[in-house]
Amino acid sequence: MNPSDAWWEATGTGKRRTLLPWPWLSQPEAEPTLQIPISVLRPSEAGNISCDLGLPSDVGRLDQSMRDAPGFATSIVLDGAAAPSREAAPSVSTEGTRRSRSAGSPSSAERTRVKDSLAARLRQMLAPPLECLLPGPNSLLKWAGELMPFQRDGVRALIGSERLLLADDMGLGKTLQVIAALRVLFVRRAIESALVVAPASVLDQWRQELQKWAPELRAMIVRGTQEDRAWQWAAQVHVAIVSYETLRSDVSGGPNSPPCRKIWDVLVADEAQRIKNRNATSDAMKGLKRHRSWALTGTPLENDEEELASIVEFVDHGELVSQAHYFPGLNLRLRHRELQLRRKKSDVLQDLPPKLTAKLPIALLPKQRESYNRAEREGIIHLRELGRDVRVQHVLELITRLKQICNADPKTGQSSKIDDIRQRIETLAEQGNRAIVFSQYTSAGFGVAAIAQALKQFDPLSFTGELDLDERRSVIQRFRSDDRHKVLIVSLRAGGVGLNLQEASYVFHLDRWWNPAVERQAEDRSHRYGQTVPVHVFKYSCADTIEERIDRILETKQDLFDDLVDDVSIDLGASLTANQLFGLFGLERPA
Amino acid sequence: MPIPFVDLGEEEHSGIAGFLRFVDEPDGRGVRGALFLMSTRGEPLEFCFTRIDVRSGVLWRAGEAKRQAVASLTKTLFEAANRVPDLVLALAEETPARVFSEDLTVRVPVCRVAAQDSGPMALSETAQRISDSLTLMWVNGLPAPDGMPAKTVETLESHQLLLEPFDRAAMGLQEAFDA
Repeated sequence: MNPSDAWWEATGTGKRRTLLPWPWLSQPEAEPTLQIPISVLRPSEAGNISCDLGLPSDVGRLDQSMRDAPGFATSIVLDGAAAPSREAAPSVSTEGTRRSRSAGSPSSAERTRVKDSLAARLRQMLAPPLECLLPGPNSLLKWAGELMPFQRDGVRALIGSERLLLADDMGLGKTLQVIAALRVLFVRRAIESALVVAPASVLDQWRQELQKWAPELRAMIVRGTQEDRAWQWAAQVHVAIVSYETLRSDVSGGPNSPPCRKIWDVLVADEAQRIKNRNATSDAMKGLKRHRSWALTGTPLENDEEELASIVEFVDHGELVSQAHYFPGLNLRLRHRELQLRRKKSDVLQDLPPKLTAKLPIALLPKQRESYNRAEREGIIHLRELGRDVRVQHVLELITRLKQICNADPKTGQSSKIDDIRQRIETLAEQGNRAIVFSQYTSAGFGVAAIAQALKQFDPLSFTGELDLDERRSVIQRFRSDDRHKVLIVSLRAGGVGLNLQEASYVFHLDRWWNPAVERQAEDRSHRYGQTVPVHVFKYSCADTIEERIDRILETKQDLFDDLVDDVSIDLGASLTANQLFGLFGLERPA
Repeated sequence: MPIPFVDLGEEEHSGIAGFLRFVDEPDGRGVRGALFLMSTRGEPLEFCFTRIDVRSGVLWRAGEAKRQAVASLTKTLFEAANRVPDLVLALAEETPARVFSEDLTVRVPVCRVAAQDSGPMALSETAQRISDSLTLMWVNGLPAPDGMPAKTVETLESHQLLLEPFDRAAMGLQEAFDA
């Protein structure tokens, strides 16, 4: 093979195209015989040029014979298939190549690598500047809309970071920033593949946003039967999108399983609190080979610092996979500070209408109170009877039972909360407002179904985990496009993250979750970028019940989040402990 | 291609511009030259580069030696290029007018870009004022307004890409020779 053949092979230009085409306008293939036609009015000094030709060392060593060619210049064609992105930055192998060259005459393959390395570096260097590609009046790319200055900063940070925890407040457009960064990186040929791992409920939203903001990128959701997924993983796409559950299932085959065979240029963990626990899901994410790890979450800490450690382990990957182990303490906090980019709504969205939160203490209706008191009394007696065998699980079961009664009396269906919501929504609907009601339960007795039944006059829509993905998409579409549906009733687990529901400006929490971050995420489905009116949030708490006690814990946790995530400065220890749980009922944890 | 077809999804050819850049070497003994071919979308297509020693000695006037060097570099770069651009742009401050009026005749439109007052124009050049601080000096007259060279200039200007690619070309030269 002569040197020029090696070059064509190496660049993939002309003779071979093995990689995805650059997602831009395809220029016609180079015509090697074409040259800029010139005529020389005077005799050229070309012969002298060859004598003085000081080729760069990379190229000079490549083709020693070319040094003697008169009037020689090196031409590097840059618009072929992209070179692997690892060539974009100096790597160990490149350094090794350089060292070995100095020791003696390079081999043919080595020469090819050297030249490819220069081509790859030039390809990167000569790519359009970032500012020419970002949305703006002079952008080289057509964008579906503008980015706000803080979002442009976020895109720059993503592009410049192999490891980033983007912890912006919910609703500041983390998805959009990632898509813009991916698009720019693809266009600049810095990357060839990306995998977005997200909750199942937002996979379609990711694809739609990609179609909108990066129309030239091919995106595919990996889902369906195992056979379907096998070819989907192998498909030539720019961005693969998959749910955490599917990914966990598909990597269970070990290192040869489809997602593990590939080195992803970018691995995105959307709603990264899903990998806060060290379990099969987070292991699956941390074990994927990748060059860039981006984690997106507005709540990198929900309960304790261990969760933050797990997320940081994902972001701070080693050569290709996660290797570092972090534990609560100074090291984690220092690294967290280096990896996290966080902007708060109050800092960057001065124009965002306020979120007005109101706690609504409410008394149980008589039958509810009767049922509640009886359940609590019997529950505590039961706990005492268990003696040394009592476990946290027993306490949690009692709490759950009491919370359900606070939602609705199981015998009569009486519910002071639902009655109150109905009255409020009557007024709101008359004024043209729409509302979202969150509950952690889906039951017909005290959850989403019960609320839907009670509010049927408002044509409510329900969004729960029981719906398949098409049904979920349909529900969201109907709510957003048809304002006859005044209320969307959402299961906190199914719809607490990822949805954009700026159409509603009133949010009700029928019951309280253990974690203020989860509640805040839910509220921010409405209170987010694009919202034009103030968002009113109502949180119910039944007087003289377990809910009041939970509310006090939530306040403590909110302080913890503020300190660790926003300030990164305190000693933790304020998580919900077993002692606290027992304390809710005036009991002591057995030794 | 046995069956001719047109891919309607493929966007129209958007024009190719060639940017000539000449940079003195740090020790002043030579000049490096680059021809950077770029689509009007900013897409880098091809990068040609080389260098030459600048003649010195009592027999050579300084300006004349540099002009000879630029002309020789230009010829070599043009010969090396694989594509034909729709127009070639060079910086007026580093490309003497005589290179394209007396040394070389180029059969694609060529213009020298003057960011400020960048020396005299050749008689054969025609000025096109783009803004208060930017003038194009066309060798052999203005291009036809509906032709690809004029459209290419228009597109480059709309993206503020009449000057910026020269910076990229200089960075490419530095990478090629010094990295």
